[in-house]
Amino acid sequence: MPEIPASPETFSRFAKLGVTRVGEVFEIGGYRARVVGFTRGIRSFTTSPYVFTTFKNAQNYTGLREDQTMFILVKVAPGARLQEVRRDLLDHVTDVDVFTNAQFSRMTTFYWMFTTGAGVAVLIAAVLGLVVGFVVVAQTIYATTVDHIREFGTLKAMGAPNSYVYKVIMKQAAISAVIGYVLGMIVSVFVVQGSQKGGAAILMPAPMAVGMFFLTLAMCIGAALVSINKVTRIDPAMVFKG
Amino acid sequence: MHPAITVRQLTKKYDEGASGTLALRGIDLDVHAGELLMLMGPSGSGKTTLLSIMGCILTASSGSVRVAGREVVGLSEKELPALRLEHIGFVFQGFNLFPTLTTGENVELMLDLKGVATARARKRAQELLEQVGLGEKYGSFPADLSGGQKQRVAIARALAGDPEIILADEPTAALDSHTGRNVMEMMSTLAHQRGRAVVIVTHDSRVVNFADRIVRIEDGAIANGSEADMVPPGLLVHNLSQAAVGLV
Repeated sequence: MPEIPASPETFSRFAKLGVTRVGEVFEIGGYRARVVGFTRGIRSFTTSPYVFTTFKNAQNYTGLREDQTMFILVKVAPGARLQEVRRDLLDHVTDVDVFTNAQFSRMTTFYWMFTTGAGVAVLIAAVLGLVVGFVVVAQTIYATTVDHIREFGTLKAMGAPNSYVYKVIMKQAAISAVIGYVLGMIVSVFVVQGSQKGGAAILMPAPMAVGMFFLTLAMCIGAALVSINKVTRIDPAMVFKG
Repeated sequence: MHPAITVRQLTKKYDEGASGTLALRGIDLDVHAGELLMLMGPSGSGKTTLLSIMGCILTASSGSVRVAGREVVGLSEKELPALRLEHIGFVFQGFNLFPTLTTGENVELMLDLKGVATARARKRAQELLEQVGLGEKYGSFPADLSGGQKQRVAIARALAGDPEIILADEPTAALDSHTGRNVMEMMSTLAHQRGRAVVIVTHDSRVVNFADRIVRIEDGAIANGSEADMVPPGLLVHNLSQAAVGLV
């Protein structure tokens, strides 16, 4: 998992609650609480900060009964096999689900991406970006092709096979992809850097960056197909028209 | 010696069916290596259509066209570009140079189409430009050239593929008398000294003296009948003398 840098927001949230240093006493849910430390690197997707305390204190602060416990974090002993421990827990503890880190991470990702409005909105924005990009590239390459239709006609009259002409257009699409990708990544890097100070950090793992390049390339090449259709139907005799 | 181009009973009809336009009617014509043939006639007579069919750019409706000994009527669209690339060089009225390429790159393009390696293509392009008197313009762009210079670059490009046949559509139309004369002298050299079959479509009466033979096209047919079938006497003498010294 990529490391999430510490967020000054974590400290600033507690400052808003009037908590600024270890040892301070404040109130949670009608109970006195004393600050014994601050965490680093923990970030909440919602506006609520995280508080770490004993199980008993947590019940008091939240007003939940013992049987209303939602999650228990379990750490296996060194040498123990994770899947065996998981199976044992499932066999012996009723009415619980037991997940490994990886499973819980996937579930959380799926939940936020596909069952909440926030995730669906991000997905729709991404798909929209892809569609708009496709249309813009298609239009640009098509306009360029039409502007240079006479040159394409001359190429064909000179004896260029269709495959040669297609290669010219594909090269244009690939150049568009590379330039667009580089510019997009420059902007993305700034956005990713800027998001580290916010509530929700944006991550750009290397495989995603590489995948985006190939997606951009595929999008541009797909967009160029419209122009390929146009040049295929050029009549080379047009070069004789003055 | 076989003609470079042989046309027999060529007919071209645009928009097949009763309402179609008959652009060419039963054309018979031979074009020989070493000859400069001019196609003349009023606008709409079918000259450019005939040139396009000889150049394997347009297909005939009926008849026979043999280019470099190969029958081209009936060939598929995929086969025609290869034929053009191998045997035919074009010179256009509007020059049709690529404005974003330098003069040298315009000539290299033809060599690139033929699969010539870049270094060799560059060297050959330089040689060709020097032959047309533009060696020093290798790195210039077409926009920096005069009309006559552009047409000479176009001629160099047409020659780059080493074709037996040069087809030119109104090559002097956009040029002044002096420049047009220079271009025609170059075309004449290609025919008479380099043995190419050169066919020129032209309205320009200033250049008729360069022709070995003039074929007039009117209403889609050859106006001066049997003249089209004769080998020009000058060309016959030339070929006989070449044969005598074993050069043919």
